[in-house]
Amino acid sequence: MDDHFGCNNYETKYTRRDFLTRTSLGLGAVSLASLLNPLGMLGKAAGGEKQIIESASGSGILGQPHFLPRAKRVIYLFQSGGPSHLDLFDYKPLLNKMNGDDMPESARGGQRLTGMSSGQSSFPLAGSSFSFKQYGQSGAWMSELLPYTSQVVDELCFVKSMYTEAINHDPAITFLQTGSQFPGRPCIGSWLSYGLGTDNQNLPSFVVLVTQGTTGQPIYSRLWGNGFLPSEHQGVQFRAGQNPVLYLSNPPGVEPDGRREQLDFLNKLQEAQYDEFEDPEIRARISQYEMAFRMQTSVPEIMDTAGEPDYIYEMYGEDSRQPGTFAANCLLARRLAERDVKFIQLYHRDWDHHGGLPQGLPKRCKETDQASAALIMDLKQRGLLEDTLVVWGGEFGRTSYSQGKLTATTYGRDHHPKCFTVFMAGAGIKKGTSYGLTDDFGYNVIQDPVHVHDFQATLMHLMGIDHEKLTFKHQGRRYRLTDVHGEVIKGILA
Amino acid sequence: MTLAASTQWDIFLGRFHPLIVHLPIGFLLLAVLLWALAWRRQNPHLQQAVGYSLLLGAVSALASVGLGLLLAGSGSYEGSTLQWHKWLGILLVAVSFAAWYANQYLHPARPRLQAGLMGSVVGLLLVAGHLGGNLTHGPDYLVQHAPAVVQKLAFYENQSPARQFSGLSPDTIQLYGHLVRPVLEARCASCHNEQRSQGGLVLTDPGSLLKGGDTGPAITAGAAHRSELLHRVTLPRRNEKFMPPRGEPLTYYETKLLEWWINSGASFDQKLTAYQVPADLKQVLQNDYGLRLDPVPYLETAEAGPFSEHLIGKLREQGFRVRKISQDKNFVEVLYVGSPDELNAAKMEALLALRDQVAWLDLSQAQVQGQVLAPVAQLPNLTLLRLDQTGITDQSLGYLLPLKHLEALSLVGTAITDAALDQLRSLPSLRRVYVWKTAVSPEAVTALKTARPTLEVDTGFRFTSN
Repeated sequence: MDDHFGCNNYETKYTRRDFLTRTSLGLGAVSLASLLNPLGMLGKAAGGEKQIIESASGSGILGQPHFLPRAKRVIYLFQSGGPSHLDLFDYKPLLNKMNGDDMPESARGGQRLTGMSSGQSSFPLAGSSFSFKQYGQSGAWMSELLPYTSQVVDELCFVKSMYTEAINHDPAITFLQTGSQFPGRPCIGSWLSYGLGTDNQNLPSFVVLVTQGTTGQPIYSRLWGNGFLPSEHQGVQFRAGQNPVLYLSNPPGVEPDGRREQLDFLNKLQEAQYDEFEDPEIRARISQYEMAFRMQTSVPEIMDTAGEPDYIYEMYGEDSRQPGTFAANCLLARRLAERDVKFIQLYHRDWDHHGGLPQGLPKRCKETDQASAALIMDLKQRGLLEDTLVVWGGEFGRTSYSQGKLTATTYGRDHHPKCFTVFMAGAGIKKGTSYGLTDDFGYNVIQDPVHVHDFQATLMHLMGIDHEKLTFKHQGRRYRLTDVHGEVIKGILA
Repeated sequence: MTLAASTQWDIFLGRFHPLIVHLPIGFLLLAVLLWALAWRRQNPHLQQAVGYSLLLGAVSALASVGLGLLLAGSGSYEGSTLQWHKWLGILLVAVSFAAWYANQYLHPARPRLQAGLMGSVVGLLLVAGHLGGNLTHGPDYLVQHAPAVVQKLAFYENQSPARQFSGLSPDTIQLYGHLVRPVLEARCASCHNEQRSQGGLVLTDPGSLLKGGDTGPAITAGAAHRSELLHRVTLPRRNEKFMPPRGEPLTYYETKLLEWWINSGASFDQKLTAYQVPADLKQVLQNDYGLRLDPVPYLETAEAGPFSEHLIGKLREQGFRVRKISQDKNFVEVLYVGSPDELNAAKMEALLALRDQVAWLDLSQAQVQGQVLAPVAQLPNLTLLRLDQTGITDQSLGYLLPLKHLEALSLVGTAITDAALDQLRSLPSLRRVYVWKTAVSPEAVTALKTARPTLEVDTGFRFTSN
């Protein structure tokens, strides 16, 4: 038995490897650094003063943001499935003029297509069947499908030149949320929670709200997973109904006092175990138990929107009275923002209109248009848009050509990674503007391309974080949200 | 016939100079090496080879000089570097013939003379050759990628085209001096400088720029479309007149910059602030030069001194949650979390321990009555103040008037009236005021917006019916 435990380092606090790592990081690291960069010892290091900040556990590893933040919290209204930029924001009259014509090979440029339309013998261009008009002082072109968002365009900044590397839903959403197409990396909210901690001790710093009862491509919890970061930084999903957070409420017959006593005793055991093994996950577990206990009172208070006046419900739309809808989630997002939750992630599904777009898209817009605009303006009138960033967008765009047959009444659009539109509002964003341009087919970016990593870098920048300096060492190398890429898009900053 | 007419023998032959010139370099260095070897070993056979090498070197040097004079005559090269190169080259021919003569007929009677002549050959060869290299490749060619120590010894300053101006404010930056000239220097000046004015054009100083080249002026102020400079860099790449003939073409933004500079009058001394910068160029200046023409938030330019951590604890006892806003500055945000009706003037006075540091202050939902707000007047760096649902009155807003840098003020759900808005008019930095759920009238808001067009007053939001 002893041998078995010894083999697994079960009874040793420090392994040989730990010892070497810890001691060699003292003197050894200094001498190695000076070998590699002799000038660094004499004065200012040649590479500037970038220091790598990392740690194995704890909340708010940075203490404070690197530099003055423009935003203190983010609300990300994620539209899963890939909303058609061509039918909502990116007005392309040429598509209507050439409706039904085959798309010129030069515009496609031999780009890879999904298996769903690559076999098509022709690629007929599909003009939007929805009319566009200019709105607001900024004169932004908006589709008739978004009558409410059209009223607030002067608060928004449209990034029309977003592009991604993935061509299918799962890798594309994973890429946008975690900076990698492969599952397993921490998502944006987890990175922010890890870097900045929480401003409200009674609520998690990262909350997820998913529209319930919709179909479409699945949304799964690893999209708000912490990856290799300590597990208290994973997003906590709030649901509509009796149990907003699963397994949070006490079982029948257990009173809060009893629960408290139980937790106190459990904490003693956990601390003892931590003293023994120094496993940071034990700390994460303690803080999660404690957070859950506090959430037993804070979450019902958040979810109870009965006190909201009627005009607020009217502003967000009638849907907002129906728990679990996108509109109700928008209202909850505002309430969470008021309570200083750092990252509020909403998901709405079913924007994946491969066919029957003219029939399907209006439904999604009806579900989201009014509430999205209302959220932005409600935050504004409360002075919260001063330091809240709101983002609206999906994981990719849709093709200018029709997938399947183009008829007088209907068409479909396939996935399109080479350009799509995202809009932002709030803290630090240059409102009433549009950034980047696509060609007349709405197929290629022709000015100011914004890669997914650039978008992520900008989001971190607005939160006061240098995306290159927030890292975590895992499996022998340092990881960050933007991998080794990402440029802050200065052009959209106010 | 047309072919014969276009043949310019002098230039055609002259351009063989850079090829032929390597012969004397090789022969003469070989001669010196052989001579040194022969002198050391006292070997008469080697001694013979020295004579041949010297003669070959001298003759090929003469040929090089001839071709060089033809090339210089084409007018593509000018300036003092050319003059030095020419005369040192001619001197080298004379010295190498002298060395050959001395080697054949005076040696070994005059070993010192021979040594002196051989030394002069090497010296002249190195100096004249180096100057020639400078003429062909530009004076920075050798040191551009040298180690820092060598660059320092050569008094070389690295001039990267994408200068970063983040530290400078737009009113100190000259459009020509800081933005246009670096582009010309990086992309054009290797051929169009005073030493080597290809096509008679020099692009390194204002005078020559205006004078232009053989085909006329390079720029027409105010009319980029009639300016040869812009014309040449925007020709199709395969056109033989396309500039630059080798290497990367000018980037879209470099072209844009030149175009805008010419169109706006091609001034050589105007500051950037004298111009209305178009939106696309604004973005270029921001991305490529780190130059922000739009106003920078006050806090990014201001500084506050460090403070001791125990102050945070002391203020905590008074009901304030104090947090440093960022690592790079000492500014703090303050949130009152104490009991709403216990906020009083004494507690607010305690905040003055951080008088320079408080940048964001949130007193929402507390009882802010009477004199309580008075100490706020002494927080010079306050930029954001939230007084939502507090008991403030129009009079107490008078305390805010000394706040020169207050940018945003939230007064949602308070009892303020039109009189309050009148007072706010005189806050110089105020950009956003939130007065939803107050008794402020639409007329007062309109009046304030007229008086202060840059000020945004939010009175709440309603969708217009669809």
